[in-house]
Amino acid sequence: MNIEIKSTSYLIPNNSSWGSLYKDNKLKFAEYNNIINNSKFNQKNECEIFVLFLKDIINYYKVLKNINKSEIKKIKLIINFIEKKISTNKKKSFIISISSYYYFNHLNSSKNKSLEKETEIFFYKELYKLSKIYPNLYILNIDDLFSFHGHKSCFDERNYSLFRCRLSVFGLKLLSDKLSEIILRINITNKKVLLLDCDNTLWGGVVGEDEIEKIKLGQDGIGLAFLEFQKAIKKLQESGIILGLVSKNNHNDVINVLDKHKSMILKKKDISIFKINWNQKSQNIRQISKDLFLGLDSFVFWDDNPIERNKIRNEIKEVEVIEPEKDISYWSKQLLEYNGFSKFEITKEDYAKTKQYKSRSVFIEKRESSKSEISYLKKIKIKAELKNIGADSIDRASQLSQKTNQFNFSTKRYKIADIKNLKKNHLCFLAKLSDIYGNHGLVSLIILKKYKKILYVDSFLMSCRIMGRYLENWLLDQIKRIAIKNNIKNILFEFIPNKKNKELITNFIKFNELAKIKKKDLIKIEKELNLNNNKYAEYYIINTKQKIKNLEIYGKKN
Amino acid sequence: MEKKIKLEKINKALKKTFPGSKINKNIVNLEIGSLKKWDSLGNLNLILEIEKEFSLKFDSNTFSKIKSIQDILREIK
Repeated sequence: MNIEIKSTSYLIPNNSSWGSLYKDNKLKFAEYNNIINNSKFNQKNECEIFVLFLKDIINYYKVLKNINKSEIKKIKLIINFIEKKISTNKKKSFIISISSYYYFNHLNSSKNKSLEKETEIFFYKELYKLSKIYPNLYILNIDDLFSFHGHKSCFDERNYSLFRCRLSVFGLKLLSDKLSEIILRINITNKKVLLLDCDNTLWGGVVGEDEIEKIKLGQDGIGLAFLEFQKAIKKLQESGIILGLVSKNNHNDVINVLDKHKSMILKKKDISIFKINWNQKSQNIRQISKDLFLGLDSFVFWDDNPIERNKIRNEIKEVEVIEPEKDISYWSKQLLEYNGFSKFEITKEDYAKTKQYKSRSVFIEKRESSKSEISYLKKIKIKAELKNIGADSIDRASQLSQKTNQFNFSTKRYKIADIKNLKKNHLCFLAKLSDIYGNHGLVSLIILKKYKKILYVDSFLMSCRIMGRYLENWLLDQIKRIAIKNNIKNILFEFIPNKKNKELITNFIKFNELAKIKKKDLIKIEKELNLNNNKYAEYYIINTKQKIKNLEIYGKKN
Repeated sequence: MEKKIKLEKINKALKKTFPGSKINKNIVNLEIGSLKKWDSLGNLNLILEIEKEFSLKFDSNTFSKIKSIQDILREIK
């Protein structure tokens, strides 16, 4: 990434403290104390970092009474400048880091807020207002960052008087490390699943061997440490992290603790995945990844047993295995400070995730254990319905188009405005699904373009969380019906393969016997056909006479 | 501290601060300007690296006087 750093202070470019940021990025330091000037290089920059020291901005030495307004004005000027930049460079990321530290005189501030404090509060209030509006703005509180190591070792008055650098070399390094973590998270999404062992991880002791009352949880001492750890886990779950138990126990022993132990913070409803059996943990984890359509690299594994940890490290390299602190008292802090789960925003969907994945795991489990897949699916009262896209659902249509990766034929990404346009001339539908596991909402988007002899499927995508119900076949049948209604004999699918969609789409093509066809042969059937020139695109066609399988699940005969 | 050990540590700091530059075996007579990158900014980075290497901190006065290896040798007790 090309990064430009602007600061009110001199930051010693080329100093080895900046190593962590230099490692993956190209850095350019603007002339210091010149933050409000636009630099010549800013076209190429993908990220701009501001490092602001309030002491460089406000005149803290003046008498407080007279200057409040004028100092606040200076902050406003900077805020306005930042907002103007951010609003005109929406593709660029901005990280604003601020320090208000200079000295503490606790006697003076024991009755009144200091000018520094007041301007700091104002500055943050305004910045967080902006960060709500602009998703490309990130804020870093330098003083909080330094508080762990002590301000004394991070700030350096000597460096300031010698070369106008507010920070010590150590302070610079901490700043560089934290900034590179933020930049990494802008580019790479967070981990999604926390897989936990049970005995001596969620509580002390071994269930099955000990009476349930005898496990260590909640009491003072080690029991309190486990309780605090559970609180930290619960906090992550509330923010949309999916919890799974992967433990070698009897299933009922663990469920018994979840249901009956009074000190348990984690309840059965908080856990989406239960793999409590005597199988190899690596085998369980691979199964979870397959069932829930979650990449192994989105998993984090926490187990007190070093042998289990090493096995996972050796067998599934993608899974991040945490090395827990020796003293359990520090686990809660360690988990909350762990960066892998950190994300900039918690969305509405995050709140629903636990329930969503839980219902999916139960569905998979029941389907696996029933003798006949089809007769099981018939029993769960699946109802599907096609819906036109209206004002209330256009958001969801665009969201599905932007986010669906695996069952998605062409992976064309449409924004709300694009779908509004497509709707004018083409057939656009959403599909709704419900069954005994709940109302799954709008889970599929289909965009069809009508030609005289061909019905061209521009987009055909489906959310993964409802896979396994043959909804894709019901949808194919619906497309077929639309073709018949319009007197069109051929349905054309455009498949643009990539790493993520290849497996599911190829399976669908094989299962439904779609026939591959060359582009030049297509044009023979339909002269007016207007296809994008994607060199990776493959074309498949089916005839409306073809029978579609497994429709009996949806109470239909062929 | 023995002069030999001091020089070894200074050499390490030199290499870290000026990774692209060729540094003679005998560094005792090097000073600001001796290496291409050893300008005023380079000098700053070198002194900060020396501080790290010897786990010490020069006061403002001393810091601003250091311009050569000889100066460094003199200031490190």
